[in-house]
Amino acid sequence: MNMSRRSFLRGAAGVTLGLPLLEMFQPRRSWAQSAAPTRVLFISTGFSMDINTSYERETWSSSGDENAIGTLSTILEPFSAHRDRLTIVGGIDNVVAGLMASNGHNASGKTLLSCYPIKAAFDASGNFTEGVECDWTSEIAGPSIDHHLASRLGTPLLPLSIGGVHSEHRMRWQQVGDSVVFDEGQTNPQQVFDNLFATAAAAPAEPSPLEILRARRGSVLDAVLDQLGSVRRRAGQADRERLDQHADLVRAIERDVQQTVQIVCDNPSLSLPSNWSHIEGDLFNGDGVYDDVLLRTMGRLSALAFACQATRVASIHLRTIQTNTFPWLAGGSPFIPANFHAVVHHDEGTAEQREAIFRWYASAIAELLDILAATPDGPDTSLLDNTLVVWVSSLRHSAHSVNDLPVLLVGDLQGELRKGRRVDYQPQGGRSLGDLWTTVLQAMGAPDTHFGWNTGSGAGGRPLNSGPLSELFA
Amino acid sequence: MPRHDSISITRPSAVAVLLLMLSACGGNKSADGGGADGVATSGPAAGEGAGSADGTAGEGAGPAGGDACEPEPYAGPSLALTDRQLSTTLEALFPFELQLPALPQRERRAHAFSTSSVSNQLTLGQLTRWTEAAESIAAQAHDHLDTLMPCDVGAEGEACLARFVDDFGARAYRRPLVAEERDGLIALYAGLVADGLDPRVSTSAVIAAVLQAPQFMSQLVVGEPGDDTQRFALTGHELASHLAYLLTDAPPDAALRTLAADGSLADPIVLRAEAQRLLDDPRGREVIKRVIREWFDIEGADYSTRVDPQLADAMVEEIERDLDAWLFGDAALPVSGLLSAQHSEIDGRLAQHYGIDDGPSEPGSWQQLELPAHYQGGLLTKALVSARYSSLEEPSIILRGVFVLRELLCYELGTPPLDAVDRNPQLPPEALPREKAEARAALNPCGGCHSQIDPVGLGMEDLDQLGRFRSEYSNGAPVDSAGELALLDPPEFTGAAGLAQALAAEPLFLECAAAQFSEYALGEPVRVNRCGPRTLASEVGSAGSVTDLMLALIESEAFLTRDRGAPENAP
Repeated sequence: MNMSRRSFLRGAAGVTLGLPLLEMFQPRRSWAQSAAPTRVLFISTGFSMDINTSYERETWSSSGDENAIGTLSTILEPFSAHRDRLTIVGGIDNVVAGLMASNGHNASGKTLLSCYPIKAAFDASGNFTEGVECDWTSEIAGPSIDHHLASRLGTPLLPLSIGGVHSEHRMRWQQVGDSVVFDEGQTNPQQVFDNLFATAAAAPAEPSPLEILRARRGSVLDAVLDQLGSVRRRAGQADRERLDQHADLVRAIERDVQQTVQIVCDNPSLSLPSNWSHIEGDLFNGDGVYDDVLLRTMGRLSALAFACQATRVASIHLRTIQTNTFPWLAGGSPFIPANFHAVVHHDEGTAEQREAIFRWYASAIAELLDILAATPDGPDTSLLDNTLVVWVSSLRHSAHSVNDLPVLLVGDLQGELRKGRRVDYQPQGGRSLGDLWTTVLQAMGAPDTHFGWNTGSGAGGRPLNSGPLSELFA
Repeated sequence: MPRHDSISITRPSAVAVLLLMLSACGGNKSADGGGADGVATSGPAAGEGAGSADGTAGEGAGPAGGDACEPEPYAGPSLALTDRQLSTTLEALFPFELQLPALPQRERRAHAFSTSSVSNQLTLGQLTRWTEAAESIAAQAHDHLDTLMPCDVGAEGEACLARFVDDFGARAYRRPLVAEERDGLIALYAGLVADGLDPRVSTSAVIAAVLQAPQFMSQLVVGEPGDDTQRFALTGHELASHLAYLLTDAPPDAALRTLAADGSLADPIVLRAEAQRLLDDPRGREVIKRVIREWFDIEGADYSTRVDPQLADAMVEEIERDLDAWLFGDAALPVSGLLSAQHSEIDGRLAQHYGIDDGPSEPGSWQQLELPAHYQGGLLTKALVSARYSSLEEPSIILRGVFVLRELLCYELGTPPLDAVDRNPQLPPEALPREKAEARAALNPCGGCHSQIDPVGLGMEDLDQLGRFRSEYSNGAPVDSAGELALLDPPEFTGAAGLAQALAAEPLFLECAAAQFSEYALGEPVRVNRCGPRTLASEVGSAGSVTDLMLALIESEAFLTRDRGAPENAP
């Protein structure tokens, strides 16, 4: 199958920067005989996906017969070309968020992918206390689904984040030895590309000092831990705690050094637009000014990483939401009159604006699906055939509801899952997020029977896990 | 140590309100156990009674009901170097042009200082980026080793490396290395060389390790080698480091390093002289102004999306010029001047904006003048500050009230309930702010806090969302800027300038300013009714300037000494 080069320029109104050109790789060495492995791409956004002031379920999920996808709602309409691959899941509840006190965003954001309460809610013996305050500094006590799945599969997670760190929506957590650490992910596409493919370039005759230092990172980090240990012995109590956290992070980096990856592409390349240096300083722009360029770029990078077999699990987290004004929807000027938070809460802006914004998320993700569909993967399949895309948000609607969350699945994981349907668990009283993630784990071949915290009860006595969502399996 | 619940009361009505506030107003998140926390009601001058519970970052309780209190050492975590400080330190360490990759911007948390530990939490992503940066810097250093090393490591081997570790390491860690640290770095070099690596590359690896060590990345205070007493004074090197980073955002210069090494900094006269020298430096002034901008949360504020660029720029420049005039030089105002200054420097654009007729007429043409009475509120009556606590269309009564209580009086408000926003009563669009506030005050439990917060914001309604004075709303209804703040005496005030003037005269504001600067200098929040801020406030007095406050802070127990806390295996 011949893959012709494509350029993904887009002349959509309002895009003030040229989109990056992603040159795809040369025909691959392998794949000729073997089937391609399955992949999962998690996409998480905050602040809900619902605009209707009466919070009708129809605004997110489509209308129609319970098991068929009828008319897609305005927000989901960009997925029309992929409707046969969609599964809209209703009635998925976050039963962990309500176990803690929070401002509505901290607990919902941090538990969306982890299904774990915060460390501070557990005492030294592991006893849990309900109602402990979850603020933006609180740390989650278990890994998020993307990290957990990646470690189950023995593949290095590609954790991509778009925009500045928003404290409240710290969604990604990694198990490192006995600790769990926050992973803010990678935000610079050029660095992501370099990290992924540093070894793919033809080996030069004489490695540069930088290449040697990178290759010896493990030894250097050992020495760093040694220095740390020396000063820790003399440090006070407060500093000892911080030094221990620092040491955990160093060990996490060391662990990444040990994972080797077999890249199967020849000459992967990434070209960024000529004014990329301008955007580079603003990669962490809290106003989200470059979110559309970044989302499209990160989507392409995920596709490239999957196709080149650099990884099987990626997650993209859009986190510049608090102050985002979505300027690309208005020719570079702010599209909404105030920050997104206020708009989602209906304090500012109009229903039309909210709809346009949520619809933009959908169209950007739909474009990514187009790219996956156009990427050959294996002898007869496309990347989209072999990938499950999961799109979730931490809230249902602007009143901070964590029940009946927006959950969209795209793909069937080579026949493991059924698709092209709407499955609604709300009439049964809803199912937990833990059940959803268990389903994904099992569909990917992992042996997990539950996910997240499993030794207590969810909010209101709901079960944390009841097992996978069997209706989703083929 | 026993807790002291006695409060020195100067305003009986304030106590009743306080108790009401504490019982109804959300959850008090203080890390030390509840009680009469959060608000000092002590009178002026050196500590009237008012002890408080033990607890967090360092300041302890006073003696039982007495007059004096005993300021205590700081016991919290050491300061991490901020991004700005890392940058100046690298500049000082490497005498050639460094290409630094863009580091992830650390989160700017509203009302947390850039030096606060919450603003400098280390995450996996940040540390990974730093690891890559350290490797890149070390690789660049490889090409400039002759400028960095006093000898030729290729020819002389480990002996040369050892000299380099002593010299470079000491400059990087801002103190001499102890034997363990020195040996560890030499061992890294030796191991790589034994493995076949070139000596110069192996030296670069040592540089990469030094840059990633916590001794480089933070100002770790551990005291003299061999001294493990629980409470100890900062060593000369540690003091030099803290002084330099606090006042210049850069590592100690040669003069300061010399005084550190020969022990002179232990002499308070020498210490003060050095502090004064650094404060007189332009960098010192920039730091102080930035601390104030961070305190008022206007650092980096840019309203060019709300107003035309000319006005947006002028709003920012106005603050710069005013702080320069108010804080420094012979005519420096007392700390209270931040809220009571009568003069300001404005340009023609701002004169037009504020409606000041006898001011300059040309945009960009700046002039200092005495402001009309309703603008005589220092920073509180500035357009930039009003914009910060307003939405596009109108000022926020709640945000203004919360800002004044929390940041200018250091009062601990609790957190609102999860669905506070949704409980906000929906009134018709033409409803006045006062009516909305009354609706909130009537709700349970919202009223518990909002009956304290909203009257403060209501009293500032005479300034609109861009700080312009107004006597009526756009719909013609008159503006009623009668406000109330129970902690003031008398509690009633009118207008933003009226509030600012009353706050300026309130001893609690000075203590809060002391607590805020203490937080900047130490990295952890300091409770306002702690001995430390109270002592600082009484030393500075109502006439002392911000510079005086900074000097007093540098001479305080919390700055000069540490408490290690319990040893690791204590029961």
